[in-house]
Amino acid sequence: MKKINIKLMIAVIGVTLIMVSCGNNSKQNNEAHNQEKSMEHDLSSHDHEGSIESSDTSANTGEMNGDLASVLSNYFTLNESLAKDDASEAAKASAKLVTSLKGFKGSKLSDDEQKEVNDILETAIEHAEHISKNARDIGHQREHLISLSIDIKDLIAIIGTSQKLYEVFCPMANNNNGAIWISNEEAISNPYMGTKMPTCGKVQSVIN
Amino acid sequence: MKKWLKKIAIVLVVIFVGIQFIPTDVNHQEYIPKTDISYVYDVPGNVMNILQTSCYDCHSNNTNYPWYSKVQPMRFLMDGHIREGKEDLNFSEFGDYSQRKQNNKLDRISKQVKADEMPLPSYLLMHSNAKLSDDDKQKIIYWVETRLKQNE
Repeated sequence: MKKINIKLMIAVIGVTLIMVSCGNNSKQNNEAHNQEKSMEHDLSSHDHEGSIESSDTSANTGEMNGDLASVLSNYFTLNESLAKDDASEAAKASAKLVTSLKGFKGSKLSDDEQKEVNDILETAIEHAEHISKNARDIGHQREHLISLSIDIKDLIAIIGTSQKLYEVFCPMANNNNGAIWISNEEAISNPYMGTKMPTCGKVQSVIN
Repeated sequence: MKKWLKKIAIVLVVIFVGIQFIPTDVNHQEYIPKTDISYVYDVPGNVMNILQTSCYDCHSNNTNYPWYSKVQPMRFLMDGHIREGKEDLNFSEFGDYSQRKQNNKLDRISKQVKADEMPLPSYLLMHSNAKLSDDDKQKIIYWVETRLKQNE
């Protein structure tokens, strides 16, 4: 009795597998086509999400082409957390940074500048998302901070800022290839080396 | 006690059979799109071979499905990996990326390969031919870094 049951089960599984695999093969081409279509759709909706079309409450002041205050403040919090080796706080700050990057809207930009800003925002959002999703891997977070900091620097160069900022360089970061970060304080607090070497770095330019 | 075991076994079989009918994604493209990295850059043949063997299953519009992909729940897990992989990096759509994004992806490739973070260990379990030898790694890293310098 028991043996028959087991045989029956195996037979059922076998038949099902054959049915399913045959079915899949014949459907594959059609589905491939549909899949392409739905992928296109996925991508475009994804792009839309990452674009800067969403609303923004910040006011434009002076000659600046937008208000980076919220982006910068979350970026600085992220750096402070990494300087303290606190990966979980860094992830939280980075999640907020994602929101402020997505909400950022430039103004009075030429078409070229707008395109550049869109490109920067797209990669910056990606880096910030990776940092927010790796709350247990501070090494991975710091790797993404290298490129994120360049994005932030390039964004400031186009948009401008009312704050006095410092571009700091640490030759030991990035596996001794060197990396920069942007700080709102002249005192060095290294987000790449953390508490092991908190003051490694040198201000290489002042951004006004 | 035995009856109880039998009931559980029957329920498990029914579940197993049932999940075979879950609709699946098919990541397949008949042609190589113009946006494929091989059209965007002059990728040497040996590097391209490595990318296709070790990366394209999850990072392109064309997956080479193994036999067990026909069986659930394996396919379900696989579909998720492919979706995620393509979102992070899709070699078939490399040409649609901005220059900044392309450079950034190249930089990530070189770092992840150096650190043995890619291909994922879970993928290599079932795809031993996708494992990168030291020579493969060197070829990828050398090409990527040369390319990055030219892009700067």
